[in-house]
Formats: sequence, C-alpha cells, structure tokens
Amino acid sequence: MIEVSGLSKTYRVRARPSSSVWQSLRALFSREFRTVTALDGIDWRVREGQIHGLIGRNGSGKSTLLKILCGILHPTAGSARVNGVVPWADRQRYVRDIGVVFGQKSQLTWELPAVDSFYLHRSLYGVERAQFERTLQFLSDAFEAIVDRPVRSLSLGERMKCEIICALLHEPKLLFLDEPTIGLDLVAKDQVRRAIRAINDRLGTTIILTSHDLSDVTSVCDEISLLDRGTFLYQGQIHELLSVVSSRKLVRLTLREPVLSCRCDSFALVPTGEFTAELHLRADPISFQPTLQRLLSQLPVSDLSIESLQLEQVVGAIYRGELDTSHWRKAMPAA
Amino acid sequence: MSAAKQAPRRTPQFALLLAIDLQMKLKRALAFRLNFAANLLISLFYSLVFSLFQFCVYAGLRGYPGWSAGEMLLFQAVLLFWTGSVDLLFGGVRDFIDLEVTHGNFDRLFVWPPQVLVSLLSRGTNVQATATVLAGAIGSGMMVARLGVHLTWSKALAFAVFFAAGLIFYLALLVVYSACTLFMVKMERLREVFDRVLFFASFPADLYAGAGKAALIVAFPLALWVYLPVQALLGRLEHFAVLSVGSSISLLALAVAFWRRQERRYVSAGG
Repeated sequence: MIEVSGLSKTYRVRARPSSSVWQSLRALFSREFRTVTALDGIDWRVREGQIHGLIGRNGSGKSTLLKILCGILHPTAGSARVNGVVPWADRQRYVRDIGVVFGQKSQLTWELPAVDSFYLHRSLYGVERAQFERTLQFLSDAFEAIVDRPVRSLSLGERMKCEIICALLHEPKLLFLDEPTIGLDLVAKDQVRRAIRAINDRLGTTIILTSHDLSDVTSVCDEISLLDRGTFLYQGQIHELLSVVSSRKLVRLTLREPVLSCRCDSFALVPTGEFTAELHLRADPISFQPTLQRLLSQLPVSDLSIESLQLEQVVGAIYRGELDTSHWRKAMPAA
Repeated sequence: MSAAKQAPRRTPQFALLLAIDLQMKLKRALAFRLNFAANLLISLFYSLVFSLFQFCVYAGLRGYPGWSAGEMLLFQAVLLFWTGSVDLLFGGVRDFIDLEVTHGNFDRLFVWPPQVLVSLLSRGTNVQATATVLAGAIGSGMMVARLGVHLTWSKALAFAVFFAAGLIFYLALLVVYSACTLFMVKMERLREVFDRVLFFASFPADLYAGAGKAALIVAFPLALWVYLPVQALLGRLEHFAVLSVGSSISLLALAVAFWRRQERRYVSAGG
C-alpha cells in the first residue's frame, strides 16, 4: 500500500541570531539561512488494510511525512509510492483514493449543518448520488453522528466524527488521521476510536493515525512507527516494542522522608511528589534482587510497587534519551 | 457499499464549482437572514452613492471629455454591474487565500481532486454582491433605452466579449496576487496597491492621451472592465481595442505559469 524509500525533506529557513531590533533591521539587508532536515532518508512500508500508528514528538517529521504522502509537499530526495502512484507527481488522480483529517483544521462549513459540507464534498469528488447516499447512511450509523445540525452548535467530539465521515464519503482506500482525538473527552475519544476500528473492519480502509495520545495508538493500531528527528527509531508491532524493553521495570516509591532530603547517589530517582518518586531498574534475573535490596537499604521506603513499562513510559524514555535504540534500527526490516 | 465504486468520476468544472460555492454562501447567508438583508441593502446603498458621487464630481469638472451626461450615467451603471459581477464571482478570493495561508489551512485544497488554482478561485463568491449586480444591470438597461442606443447583435456580442476578457484580466491579477501570497504570506499594503490599480478602471480611458490610453487598452488592459464594453454598446470602438482580448488571455497564461512555479515551492505552515 505505502512504500517509501530513502525519503528526505529539507527546508531552508531563515536563521534568527537574536531577537534584538538591530538584528531584525540587519536581516532586511543581509539574511542568513540554515537548512533544517525534517526527514532524513527514511524507508517505510505499510501493508494494505492496516491501522498504522505514526508517533513522534513535535518537530519529529510526522507532519512533513504525512504532507508528502498526501501530495501537498514535494520531497527533496527519495521516492514514495502509494497504491502504485507517486503522490506529488499525480496529485489529482491520487487524492481520489485518499481521505485526510487534520485534527486541528476543519473541512466543514461552520454555519451550516455538516450534511451541506458533505454535499459539497460529493461534488468535488464527483461521487454518484445514490452511492453517496448509501455511504452517508452507513457512516452516519457507524459513527452515530449528528449531521443535520449547524457545525457551530456541535460538541468537539461530534464535529470530529463529522470530519471523519466527510473524509470517507468518496470511499478512499487510505485514510490519514492527524490527531483525530485532540481535545476530546474520554467518552468522545472512545466513540471515535470504536468508529475507526469499525471502518477498518467493515471497509478494509488502510488507516494512518498520528497522535500524541498513545492510548489512541494502543487501542486501535496494529503496528506503530516511531519517528524522531527525521528518522525511524522503531517500526513494528506494539507488543514487540514492549517486549524489547520488558527487562526494564518501573519502581514507584513512597518514602518516610521528603524525597529531596534523601541521599541516594547510585539511583536516578525522579521525584513525583514531596514523598514519592520513581525510577527504572533493569529486571534481569541475576541483578534485580540485589539491586532492589540495595535500594531498600539506602532509602527510607514505606511502600513500593513494581510495574512493567507502558508504551507511554517507553516512548517518554526514548524521547529523553534514556533508552538506547540503535540496535532496533539495525533490526528493522528494510522497506 | 462499494459495489459501484469503480464508476468513473469526473473532476468538476470551474463553473460548477463556482455555482456550488455560491449555493453554499447563500445557505450560509440565509442562516442569518436579518444580517443578510441588512448587508444587501447597505452594499447597494454604498454602490449607488459612490457611482452618483463620481458622476457628480466628473460632470462638474467636465472630467469625461466627449461624453454626454447620459453616456456618463451609462458608464457608471456598467461600472456598477462590473464591480458587482467581480465581487459576486471572486470577491472573497483574496480574503480566502490570506486567511488560509496565514493559518496553515491552505493544505486542504491540495487534497481535493480539482487543480489547486481552480479550487482557490472558486471559493471566493460573495452573494452579498447580488444587489449590486442587479442594480448595475437594471441601470445599464435603463440608460441604453434612454440614450436610444440601437442594440444590435454585434454590439451585444462585442459587449459580452470585452466583458468576458475583462474577467479574464481580473483573474490574471488575482492569480498573481495569490501566487505572491504563497511566498510572502502577509500582503497588507500590497493589497492596497492592488485596489488602487483597480481604481483606474473607473475612469474612461479617454482621460489619458496617446501612449497612456494605448497602455490601458493593450498592455495593461484595465479599459476592458468598463470603458471598452461601454464603447461597444455605444458603437464607437477603436480597431486596436481587439488587441486587449489577446492581451488579457496572454497575461492570464503568464500568471498561471507564475502560480504553478510558486505552487511547486509551497511550504505548508505548521504541523
């Protein structure tokens, strides 16, 4: 479905040496530029019918990759084919087969019921009326959406459901969802996630989901790709990523004395409250017990719990540079 | 659900997209009916007052050499019709691209099947201008009748051709403006310059002598918007006026080439 090879994108941006007025005036006459690498020769493959999570912190290159795959941006180097089509080279033909939802941008007309925007969408994509009405009925039922009230009077969750319906009305083979649950409450998030699953199950639509909320990813995605500084740190199944780090445990401590007054140089304690802290420990069978005993002997522990790491904690540790990911990259299958 | 999916789909044409946008804008306007009615009346009032004011000033200053009072009124009525038509079809395009590019929403036009430029130019209709179009059309009709102009098919055709060429020239300027917005993002005072240039069309080209007049008819054919259509109705077109049609088409072709270059270099705003 998606095959990306050696894809790079660099931007030439103005260098801002300082925020002083003098520097701003000088920049009117002589400008300095620097090159920012958003994507650095990435390889990526997504199979048809998957729900694939694309995660990464702000500025990691996710949006650039999505925009290239949507035909919005041209890459600096490399190739990408989606359904056998190069997105930016044959954009008009290509976009008929994709749907896009940008969570922070709307396709709907604010003052009108969503169904009016759906009819505009039908005209843009040249969808036959009978087919359009069948699809709309199916999607409205699947999402339990309110489509006949002005968009401005809908809750954020209802609006997002209408955005996703709008992107699916021409029955695309591939759907890009860029932060579809941003700002939603727990109930609305759950509704959107169930609907995404239903669409994938019943229509076989391949879905690329980006989200900063990793519970979105764990609840709907089959596989994930973790992007950082323009390169992939991990591509594969979520449980495989967790098994890679299963040798690490999260130890939560409650102390009898304030954390800051405790001296514990041999452990990297992260305070989480005045009397609480947490730390990561290697859980290999030989060293775990002695390490734990040493910890208990050094600190005034009143209570503790030992947990396996969740995806959020693993990803957080990767972002903070606490996990070495170089061997994952070697293990990843070449696209 | 997807049995009929492989049926060939046609990309909608520009005229159809304009019609759809007008329909949507009308629905939006009718969602706030009192506001819509008030806006119609106010825009009609302003248009009439401006035209009458301009007529009075130029009549007092003998500003339209060789034009009778009735012909000057016809000029003002066609000006009203022109202004209303342009506003009706493309009045919101500049606001649309300014807002979309600044806020990073312009990306969505790239994920629609029509060409980006076609999607852009068909998203700026303004139904509030309907009153001005009607007032201009009625005023023009009345003045044609009052002046006793013998309206032949050839005159009507010439009027239509020059009017359409005027729209093409306006589109060329709009495309250049839009292409500049893609790389400058903020246009502010340049937008004022654009408006001031357009203002020159509200005077007959007879105000300028020799090369100035030729420039307004051929090189930068602002005369296409009001002057030449009126001259066509009055049956006093100069032969070289036909060059303005070719000129407007060439300028649009150049503008589109410039747009395509900028579109390729488009850098979306934000994540």
